[in-house]
Amino acid sequence: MRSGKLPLKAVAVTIMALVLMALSTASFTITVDAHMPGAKAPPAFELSPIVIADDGTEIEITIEDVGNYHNERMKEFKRDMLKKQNKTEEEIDKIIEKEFAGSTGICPCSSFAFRAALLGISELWGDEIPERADIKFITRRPTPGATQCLQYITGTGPGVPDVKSKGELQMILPDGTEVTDLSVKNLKKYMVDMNLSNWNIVIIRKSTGDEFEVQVKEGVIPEGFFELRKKVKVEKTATPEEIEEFRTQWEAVRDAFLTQPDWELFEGVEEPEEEEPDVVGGAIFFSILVIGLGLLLVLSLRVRVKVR
Amino acid sequence: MNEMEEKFGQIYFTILGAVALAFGAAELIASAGGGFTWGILDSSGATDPLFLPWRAIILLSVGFFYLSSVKDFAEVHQLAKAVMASIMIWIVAGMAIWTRIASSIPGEETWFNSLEGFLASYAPPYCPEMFLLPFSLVIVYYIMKEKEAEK
Amino acid sequence: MQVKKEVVKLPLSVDERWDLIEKITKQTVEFGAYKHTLKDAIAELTVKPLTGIPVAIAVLYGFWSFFCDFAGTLFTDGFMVKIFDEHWLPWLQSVFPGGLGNPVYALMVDAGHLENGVLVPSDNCFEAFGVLTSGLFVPFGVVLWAVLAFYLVFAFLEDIGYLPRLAVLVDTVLHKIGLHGYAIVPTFLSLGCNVPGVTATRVLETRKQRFLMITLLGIFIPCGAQIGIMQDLVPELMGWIFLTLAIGYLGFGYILNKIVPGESPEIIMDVPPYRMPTLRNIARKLWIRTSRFLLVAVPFVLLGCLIVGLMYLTGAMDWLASVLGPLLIVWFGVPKETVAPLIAGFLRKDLAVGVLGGLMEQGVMTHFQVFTSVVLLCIYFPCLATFALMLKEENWKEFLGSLASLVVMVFVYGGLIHLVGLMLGVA
Repeated sequence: MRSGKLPLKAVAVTIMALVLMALSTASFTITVDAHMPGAKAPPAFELSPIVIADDGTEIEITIEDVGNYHNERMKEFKRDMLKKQNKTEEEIDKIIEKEFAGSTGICPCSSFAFRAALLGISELWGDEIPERADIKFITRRPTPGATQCLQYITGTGPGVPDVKSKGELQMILPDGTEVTDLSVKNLKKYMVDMNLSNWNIVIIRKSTGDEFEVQVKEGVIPEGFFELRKKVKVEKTATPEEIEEFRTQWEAVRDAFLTQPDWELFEGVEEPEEEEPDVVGGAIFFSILVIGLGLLLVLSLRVRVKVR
Repeated sequence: MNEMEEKFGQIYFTILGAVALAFGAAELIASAGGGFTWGILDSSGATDPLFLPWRAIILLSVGFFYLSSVKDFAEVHQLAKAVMASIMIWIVAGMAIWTRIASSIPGEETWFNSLEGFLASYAPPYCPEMFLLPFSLVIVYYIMKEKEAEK
Repeated sequence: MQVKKEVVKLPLSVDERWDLIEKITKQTVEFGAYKHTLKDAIAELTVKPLTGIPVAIAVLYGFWSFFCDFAGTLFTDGFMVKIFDEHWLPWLQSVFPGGLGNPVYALMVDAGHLENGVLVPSDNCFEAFGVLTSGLFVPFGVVLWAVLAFYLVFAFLEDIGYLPRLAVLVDTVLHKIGLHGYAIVPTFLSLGCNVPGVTATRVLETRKQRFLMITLLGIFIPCGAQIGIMQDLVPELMGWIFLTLAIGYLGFGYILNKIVPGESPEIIMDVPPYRMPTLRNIARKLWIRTSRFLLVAVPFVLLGCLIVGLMYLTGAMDWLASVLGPLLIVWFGVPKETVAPLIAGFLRKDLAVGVLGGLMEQGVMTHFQVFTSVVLLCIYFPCLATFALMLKEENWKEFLGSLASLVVMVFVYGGLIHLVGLMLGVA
C-alpha cells in the first residue's frame, strides 16, 4: 500500500503540475494586445510629441517611439514564451516575423496612455517642460500597451534608451489592488476582466502635489467590446465572425485615440468654444479697402487726364 | 512747399518714423520668440516665420528713412527718403492685403469661399505695416506739391 | 567750340580709353546747373548701398510674398489641389482599366505605395506618379502658377527700371566672383527657368564671365518650378535652402574666378530713369516667357514620369539604388531612396522634388535628410533642357570644364553639408 500511495501522490503532483503548466501555457498563448493580426494600419494622424526634460536635457517622445518600444518588448516576451515551448531559434524567428508583420505597436492601450499623458502634462505644467523625475502616473489599466507607454515616458521600463533620470509609475487597479510586478507575464493575471474603469490614469506633478485624472468617456469604447475581448483573447471561444467584429472594434478604438480631440475622448474636458468669425470686422476692412482702391483709381485717372 | 508745410512734414514724419522704429524693434524682438498678437495688432508671423524678421528689418529701415528725412525736409533728396520709406510700407502692407485677398477667394472644402468666410478673411488682427499704411499716404500730398514745384 | 585734334594710336589699353573719353567729354560736353527732380533723387537713393540695400530687401520681400500667395495660396492650394486630388485622380482611378498593380495603370495613373506590406492607392497627385496624374499636376497644377507669378513680378521690375539699379547695387559683390552687376539679370531669369537664364549670359562681356555664369546658374540657381514645389512641400526649409545655395554661389564663384583664366573687365552701366510700366508690354513678356517655358517643361515632365515609372517597374531603380546607395548614405548622408529623385531630376528638377515629397510623406527621411536632398537636387546636375543649352552656348572645352566643376562641386559641397549636419548632431 505504501508503495501504492507514493505513485498516487506522484500522479496527483504530476497532474497538478500539468494543470498548472497548461494554465500557464494558456495564459502565454493569449494573443498579446500589442498587435492585432490582420488589423489595418492606423489612419493618417497628427499627434504632438510629449516634451519632457531628462535631467535638464529636452527630449521629445512621439507615439511612434512608444509604439516601437511596445513592439520590441512584446517580441521579447513572445520569444521567451516560445523558447519555453522548446521551439528552435529559426522557428521562433519565423513565428515572430509572421505574427508581428506590419505591427506598429500603436494599439488602443498605448495610444490611450499616450493621449492621457499628453493631456495630463499639458494640464499640470502648461507651457513649462516637466522634468522626468517630477512626473508620476497612477494607472488603472493593467495591459502591456498602456503600461509600457508609461514606462517609456517615465524611463522606468527595461531598455528605455538614454535614461538619465526616472519618473514614477504605480499601478493601482480600480478594486484597490496594487500591482508591483509590471512584467507582461504578471499583467496577464489582471487582464481577464476589464471594464471602463480600467481606462483611467492619474497624472501627478510631484513637486506641487497637483494631480489630474484622465477617464475615458462612455461611448468611446464600443458596446460589447469588453465581452468580445474576453472571448477572443482570454477564453478563446470566439467564432470567426466575433474575431472579425473584435478586430474592427479594436481598430476603431485605436483610431479614436489617434484622431479624436480630448473633449470627445475624456471626461471633464470641455470643448473649446469655437471663435465666431469676425465678419463685421472683416466687412469694415473690406469696405475701406474697396473705397481706398476706388479713390486710387479715380486719382490716377485724373492725373492721366491732366497729363494728356 | 511752404514753411508751414515743411514744419508739419518734419513733425509728422518724426512721429511716424519713431512709431515705425518702435514697431520694427518690437517685431525683431518678437521674431526671436515666435511673434505676438496683441488685440488687433498681429506680429505672430503665423503664415511664415521667415517673414517676421524680414519685415522687422524693413520696418526699422522705414523708421530710419523717415527720421533721416526730417532735417531740411523741403530739399528734394531729403523728401525722397520719406517717399522711399512710404513706398517700402506700401510694399509690405500691400502684400499683407494681397495675402488676405488670395486666401479669401477659395473655400476650404468648396471651390469658392462663402460670403461670411470671404469677409472674415479680412478681419483683424493686422500686421503693424497695415496700421502705418494710411498714415504713410500723407506723403502723396508732398509728392504732388513737389511735382507742382517742378513744373 | 573749338575741337582740338589729336592723333590716337590703336589699340588702346583700358586706362588709355578712359583718358580719351575724358578728353573728348571735356571738349564736347557743356556742363550747366541741373535741378534734381524727385524721380532723380529716388533713383539715386536706390543705387546707393546705404539706402539701396534696405529698399532691395523690401522689394525682394514683395517679390517673394507675392510669389508665395499667388502661386501657393491662391492657385495651387486654392484650386489646383482640389481639381487634381479630389476630382481628377479619383476619376482616373475609377475609370482607367487595369487597376492597382497593373503595369500600364501604374505608369499612367497610380503606382500606389506599400503600407505595412499592402499596396494601397495614392490619395494625391504628388505620390501617384503616373504620366496622367503627377505628369500633369506638376506642370499645370504647381509649376505654371509659380512661373507665371515669377515672370509677372520680373517683367514689372524690369519695365519700371528697378532691375538695372539692383545690378548697380550688387556690382561690387559680383566683381568678387569675376562677374559684374548685369549678371543679376541671368541669375534672376534663372530663378524663373534656367533655359532663358543661360541664354541671357550673352549680356556678359568675356568668355570667362559667360563660363562662370553658366556654371553657377547650372549648379546653384533653382528654377521657378523647383522653387514652387519646394515652397509647397518644405516651406519651413526655404530660408535655409536659399542661404546654403547663396553661400555656394558666392563661395564657389570666388574659387572659380581665381582658377579660370581670362578677363573680367569693368563696365559702365546704363541706368534708365524710372518709368510707369505698360500693361501691354508686361502681358506680352509674360506670354512669351510662360508659353516658351511650358513648351520646354511639359514634355520633359511627362517623359520623366514615364522613365521613372518604367525604371521602378523593371527593377532598374532598385538596382541603381543598391549600387549608388553606399555612396549616398556614407558621403551625403541621404537614404538610398534618393536615387529615384536624382534620376528624375535630370529630366525635371521640379518633378524630382515631387518624388522627394512622396518619400517625405512615407516618413523615409528625416528633416535634415530632406534638406540635404533638396540642396543636392539643386546642385547635382542641371536639367536636360539646360544641359542641352549649355552644350550650345559653350564650346567643348568650356562644357567639359563646367561638367568637371559640377562634379567636384557636388561632392565637396554635398559632403560639406553632411559634415556640418554631423557636427551639429542633426545628420
